[in-house]
Amino acid sequence: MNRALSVDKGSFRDRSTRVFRHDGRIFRALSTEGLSIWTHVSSMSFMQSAMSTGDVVTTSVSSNPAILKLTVEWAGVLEHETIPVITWPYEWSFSMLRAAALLTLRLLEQALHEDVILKDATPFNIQFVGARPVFIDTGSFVPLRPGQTWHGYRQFCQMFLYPLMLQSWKNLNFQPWLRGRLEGISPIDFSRLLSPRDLLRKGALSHVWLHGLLQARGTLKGGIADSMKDNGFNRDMILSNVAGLKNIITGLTWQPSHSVWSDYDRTSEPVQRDAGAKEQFIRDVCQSSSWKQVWDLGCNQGRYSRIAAQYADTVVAFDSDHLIADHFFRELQREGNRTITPLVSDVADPTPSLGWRLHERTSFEQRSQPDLVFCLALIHHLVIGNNLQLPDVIDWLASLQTTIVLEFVDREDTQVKQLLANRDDVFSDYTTDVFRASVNASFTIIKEQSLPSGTRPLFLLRPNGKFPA
Amino acid sequence: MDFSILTFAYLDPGTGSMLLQAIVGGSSGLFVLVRHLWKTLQNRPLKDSVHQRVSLPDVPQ
Repeated sequence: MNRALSVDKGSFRDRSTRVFRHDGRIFRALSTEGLSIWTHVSSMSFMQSAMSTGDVVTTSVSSNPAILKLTVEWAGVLEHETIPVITWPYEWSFSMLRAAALLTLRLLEQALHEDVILKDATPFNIQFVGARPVFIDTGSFVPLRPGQTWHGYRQFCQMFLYPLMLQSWKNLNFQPWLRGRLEGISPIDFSRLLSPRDLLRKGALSHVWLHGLLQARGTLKGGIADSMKDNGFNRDMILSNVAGLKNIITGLTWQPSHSVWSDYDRTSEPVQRDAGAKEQFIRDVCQSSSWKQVWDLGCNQGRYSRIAAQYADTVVAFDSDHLIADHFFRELQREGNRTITPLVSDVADPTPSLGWRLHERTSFEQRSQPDLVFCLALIHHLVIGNNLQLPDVIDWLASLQTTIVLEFVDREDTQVKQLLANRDDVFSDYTTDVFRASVNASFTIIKEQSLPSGTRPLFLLRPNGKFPA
Repeated sequence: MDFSILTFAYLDPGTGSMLLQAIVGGSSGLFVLVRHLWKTLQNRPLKDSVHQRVSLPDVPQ
């Protein structure tokens, strides 16, 4: 393949297709069989309907001569509509993973009625446009052969069902489990986590316990696929399984009453006092230019993400608090929002690159480029809460090479005093002088404003060297 | 193109997971499982029997 094409290094497992980028656009090269299958599948009513509603990414056969010239070893090339921001399931909240699972099952059910099946069932096939899940891997749809089972069933359990059950039944965050193992949670491992009481829950006995038992007896002889077919396995049995899984997942909920940060906006006195002036500052910045992608680091309930969304193409709202991100997602989902995508992500412990040769699933910074970043009332948590060094945090922000809106919370602030209340104050670098020196070394201060609290000045910063002062 | 001759799957479905799909595939799925188990039992080679041990003593008298 020509060097002018940037191959997606995570699309190697399925040999019938390969994804690549060219000039900011997304293409999918197909083998001879892959092209025949797409021609067959794309003519079906379920696929046309799913593309028109946005459930499946809009896709067309590319006739661009320049692209075809660069992909001569492939039989055909498709072009997908570009997704504004690529996210991985271990950055999603519970409701996001649940929405992705239900979309997968809905599409599978519709496809099965037209004798098409999904050959895999991984959340990496789903992306979010705002709060809306979109199925992106069109190569996953293949004709159903008579008597075949659903090859993606185990993967669905490992990547969707067990993580959702873990969160709902055990109140354990699933993200570290998916980040720790890209294949998800195995049936054996998950069945070991269940208590006798859990076995009474819907789906536990069959999809978990029995699944684990059968997997543990992994020496079962071959020929099972042929035997299933010969003994009458058929499409209706897959449909019955899919209906059962939909029923189980619809019944899984996770709604704890509160978390560490869920009441922060309402109860923090300086936050309430500064809110009006801060909103106006943010709005002025957002109005001053057109922004493609805004990051809101430590978004809490998304107050400033929502302002940014009025002016920007895409907003990514990060918070390390799972419950807050989940609440925000559910609000946005109800509204049908297509601009803001909330993510569960900790600035001090960001998503690393993972998988084969560490190229398969890249870090967030490698797959996304903001042109405006909010770092509002976050810096004291990073320095005092996470023991990061203040100059290093400023240096990291500068490395993003983008416009920053930063709220510095000084030592006189009640929140900083609370953070230091029960620990030794070893943060000699956390001073206004060190902050200003660090900022001046890397940024130009475009605008500065103090807020009514008197302890939380706001700064509009541009990195030196990129923008004219 | 005759799709029935093509192999699409790049995932190993897992033998246990395939069997389980008959169990969670409704009542007709259970019949598939029963037929599969019955045929498996029928085709199972008989283990060394008592008869063999009696007729073919492995220790010379």
